[in-house]
Amino acid sequence: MSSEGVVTRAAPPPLSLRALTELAEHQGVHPDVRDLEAVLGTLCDLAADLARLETTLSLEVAGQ
Amino acid sequence: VTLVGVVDDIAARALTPREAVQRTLDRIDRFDPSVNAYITVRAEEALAEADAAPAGLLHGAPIAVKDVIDVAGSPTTAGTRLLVNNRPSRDAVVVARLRAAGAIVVGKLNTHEFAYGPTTTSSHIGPTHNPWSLDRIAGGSSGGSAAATAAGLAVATLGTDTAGSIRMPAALCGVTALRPSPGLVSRRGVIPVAQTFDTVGPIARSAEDCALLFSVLAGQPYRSQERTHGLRVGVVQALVDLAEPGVAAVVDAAICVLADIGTLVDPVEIPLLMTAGAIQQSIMLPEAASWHLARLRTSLGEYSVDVRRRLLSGLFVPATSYLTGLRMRSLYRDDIARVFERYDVLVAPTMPCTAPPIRRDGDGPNDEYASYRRAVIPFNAPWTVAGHPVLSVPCGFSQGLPVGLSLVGRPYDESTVLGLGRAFQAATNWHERLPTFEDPVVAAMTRIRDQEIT
Repeated sequence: MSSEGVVTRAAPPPLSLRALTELAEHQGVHPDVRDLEAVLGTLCDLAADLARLETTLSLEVAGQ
Repeated sequence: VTLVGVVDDIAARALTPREAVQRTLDRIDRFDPSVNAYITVRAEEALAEADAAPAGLLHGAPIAVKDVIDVAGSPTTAGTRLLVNNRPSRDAVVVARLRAAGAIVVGKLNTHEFAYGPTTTSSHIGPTHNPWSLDRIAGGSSGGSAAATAAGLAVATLGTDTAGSIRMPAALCGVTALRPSPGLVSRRGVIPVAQTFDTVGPIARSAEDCALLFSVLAGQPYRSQERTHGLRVGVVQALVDLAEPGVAAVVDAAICVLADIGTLVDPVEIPLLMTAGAIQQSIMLPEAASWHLARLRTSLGEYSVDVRRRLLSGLFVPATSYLTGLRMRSLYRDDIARVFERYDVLVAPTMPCTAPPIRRDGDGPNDEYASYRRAVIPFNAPWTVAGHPVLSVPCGFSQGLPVGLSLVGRPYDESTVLGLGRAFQAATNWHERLPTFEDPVVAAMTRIRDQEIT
């Protein structure tokens, strides 16, 4: 956290295929591994984007 | 043939509703084998309904709707084999309004599977072809609606737009279309994608046609008098710069036209513009997955590969990320609202590119449309997320393919964008250009390729 209270958030590490499988099965869905490998890329991109959003949110809060 | 023209001809008794419908059915018979815009043609029903159509704003007009919109007694397949037996017993509210105004529903139009993709290539009946170049996509997800309008296979159509699904195909097919402000047009009887963003809107040949159709859909008259003098127009230069050079050049020329007809044109910066894509995805992905969850449990393998993978992605977006997206959307709306204190309308390219070629296995495991899909998000998300009405108007051609210009208004101020669209179309004739797609050799080759794809 900076002196202005702004949190710069780094993108989290990607979930493992095993974790994705367990999360899907927890919701009653049983995807195959090729689909999950493809999904992983989308999730990594989104996680990075969301980290930037959270930083922006933090900036807005700090600016209020 | 415009919607207003057909309605006027019928009112003047120069044309009967049955003749108007028959003319449309004849064109569908002749050209739809090349375009593949229709999933269901209601030929017999439409002719019978034409004879009994009530006199109203749309008396006798042959109109078709995207196949996610219920028409009583006709299948609503949403472009998926999962729903081929789904036959609703009630009309969607928008269809009931069309009928009450005297329109004739001639059929149901192709869509990306479950309206969840920008190409209209994953449907169970195969891809819709762009009438301007049959080997190219029509865009999506309302690809059948835009292609049918461009090819004259209906005088106007309805589409749905969650994240660009009306605007994108309209731009790629060279027709005019309106994404209304959310909440103005009923979604009852329409298969959803993401409830926060879903809208239903008109696709037609002109802004005047869109205004007429939108008046019926929204249940209140919308003025669309040409209005330009003193109108403050902000050019979203960041998106012009992000578009392909050919598209940017066409859009630059269109912006010059806007200045010529009396608007005050300035470049504008939107500080949070590039956050819109992430906001949109963080909200849309889990909302779509939620609606499909029961079917994902039982019928996962029945979805096309690309739609299945997008839906699966939504299973793994945490609730905290969804809520971050919603909070960020509020900030984003405030950001846009500050811009609209200085401008009446913003303009930007509807798409960064013209229609890309249809890939033989584009929606398959190699996801050959991935780069196209990523490229379009920054162009539609900024207005989707903010909840503003957008009118996309044809504004020229790049290498023979149509380019669209988005006119973005304040929330619930459809009248201003429709009025500016009318003024732009009074000064240009891009919306009057028609595709010449009747080459029988191309059509035969297209059919052969479709058999290979499906």
